[in-house]
Amino acid sequence: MKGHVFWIFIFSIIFVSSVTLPHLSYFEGSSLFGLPLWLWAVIDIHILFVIALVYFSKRDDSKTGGK
Amino acid sequence: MIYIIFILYIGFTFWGSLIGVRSKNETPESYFLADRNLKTLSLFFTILATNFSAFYFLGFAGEGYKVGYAQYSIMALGTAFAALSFFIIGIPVWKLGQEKKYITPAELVLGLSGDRILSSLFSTVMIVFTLPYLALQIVGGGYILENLTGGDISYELSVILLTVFTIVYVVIGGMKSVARTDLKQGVLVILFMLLAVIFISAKLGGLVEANKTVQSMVPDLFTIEGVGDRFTPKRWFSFMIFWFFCIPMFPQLFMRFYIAKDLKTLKNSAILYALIPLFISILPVMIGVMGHLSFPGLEGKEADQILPMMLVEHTSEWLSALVMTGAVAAFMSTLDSQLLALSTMITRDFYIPFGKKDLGIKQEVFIGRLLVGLLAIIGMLIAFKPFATIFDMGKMAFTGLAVLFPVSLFLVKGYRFKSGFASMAILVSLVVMFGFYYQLIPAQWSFGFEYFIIVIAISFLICMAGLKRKQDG
Repeated sequence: MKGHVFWIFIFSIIFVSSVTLPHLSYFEGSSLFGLPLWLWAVIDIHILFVIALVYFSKRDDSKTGGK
Repeated sequence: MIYIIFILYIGFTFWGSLIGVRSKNETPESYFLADRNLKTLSLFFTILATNFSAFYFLGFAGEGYKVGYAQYSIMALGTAFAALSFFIIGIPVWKLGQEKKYITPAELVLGLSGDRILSSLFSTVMIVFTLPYLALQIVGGGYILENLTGGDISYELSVILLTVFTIVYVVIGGMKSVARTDLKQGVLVILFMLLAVIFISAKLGGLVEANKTVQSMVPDLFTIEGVGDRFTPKRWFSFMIFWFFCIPMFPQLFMRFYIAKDLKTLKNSAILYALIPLFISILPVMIGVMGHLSFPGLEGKEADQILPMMLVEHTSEWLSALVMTGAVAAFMSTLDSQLLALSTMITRDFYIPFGKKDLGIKQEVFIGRLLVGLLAIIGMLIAFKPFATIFDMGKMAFTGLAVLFPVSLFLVKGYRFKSGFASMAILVSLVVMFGFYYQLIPAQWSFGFEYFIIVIAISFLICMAGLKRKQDG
C-alpha cells in the first residue's frame, strides 16, 4: 500500500462514515449486548482502521529498517 | 474500609513508583524526560494516562447519560484517528529531539523557525490552555472523593488534599515515577471499569435487559445522532478529525514523543493507542446510559456525577471504593504529567531565556519543582469554581491547543513561514475561538460544523498563506 493510497483510504473512512453511518440508525432492532446495530458498524470500521495502521507501520519499518 | 482501600491503592500506585527513581546525578533530561528511554508498554500507558482523565471517567459517562451511545463512536473512532498524528508529527518530533536534544515543544519551534516570538507564543498558548484541563482533573477528583467518603470529606477539602499530594509526588519523582505510575494505573483502571460495568448491569437485570429498558424510555440514546440530534453528519465529521489535531498538542503528550527509546517503540505505541479506545471508551458510556434507570432527569453538571452515583447505588462498598479510588488516581496521574510538562516549559521557555541564562543543572530542576507547586495551586483555584461542565471545559481547552497543530505540522515537515504569519495564525484563530465560545460570533457561522473546525481551518489558511519554501532535509 503506497503512502497516498493509505491516506485516501483513511479519509474515505472518515468521509464515508460521516455520510452513511447516520442513516444506519434507521435499521430497527438491537444486537449483541443490547447495543444498537450501527454501533457494531462503527466497531468494524475501527478494527479496519487499526489493521490499516499496522500495515502502514510495517511497510514503513521495512523502508526505514525500523530506525 | 473505604479509607483503607484508598490509602493502600494510592500507596501502591504512587509511592511504590517513587522507589529508586531519585539519583544523585539528576539532570533535566532525567527528571523531565526519563532519559529518553521508555519502552513500548511504558510509553503507551503513559500516553494513555492522558486519556484516563476526568474527561474519560466523568465526562464520557456524563455525555453518555445526556447523548447516548453516539458518544462512544465519537470518542473511540475519533481517538483512534488521533494515532495518525503520532506518525505525522510524533516521528519527526522524536527524530529532531534525538538530534537536537530538545526537551520542550517550544524549543523545537524555536530551533526550526528561529522565531523567538513564535516559540514564546506557542509555549504560552500550550500553558494557558492546559490549565483548564489541569483544573478539570482536580474538579473530577474533588467530585469523586466527596462521593466516595459520603460527604465526610467536602469537595473543597478533597480538592486541597489531592493537589497537595500530587505536588509532593511530582516534586519527588519526576518523569520516571510518573511513567511507572501510569503503567500500573492503566492496567488497574481498565480492569476496575470492566468490573464496574459487569456489576452495575447485573444489578439492573443484565446488560441486554438494562439496554432494552433504557431504549424504551429514551430511544434517542440509541441513535447514532444521539439525543437532540447532537451528532449530525457535520458534527460527526468535526469530532472525527478533532482529536487528530488536538491530542498531539497536549504538552504532556508532545513531550512523550521525545521520550520513546526508539522509533519502533513510538510506532507500536501509536498502534496500541488506536486499538485500545475501541474497548475502553464503551465502559463509562454504558454506565452513563444505564444511569437513566436509576437517576432519570439529571441535567448539566449534575450528569457529570452519574458514574460515582451509579457505583454507590449498585456496587458493593469495596468495588465502588476501588473504582473511585482508581479514578482519583487516574486524575492524579494525568495531573502529574501536566504539572511536569508545564513546569518544564515555563523553566526552559521563559525563566532561562528571559531570566537567569546561566542556570545550573540542579537549579533548573529545582525551579521546575517550585513551578509544579505554583501551577497546581492555580489549577486548584480554578477547581474551586468550575466555569462549565467537564466536557465543555475540556472542549474549550482542546480547541485552544488544536490551533497550534498547523504551525507544528508545517515546521516539522520542513516548511518555513514569512515573518509573523505563524504567530498571526495562532492569534487570529484564538480570537475566532473566543468569539464563538462567548457567542460574539453567531453559531450559524460554523455552517453546521463544530466551531473548532472553523478555528482550525483559519489557522491552516493563514499558515498556508504565509508559507515561504520547503527546507531541504
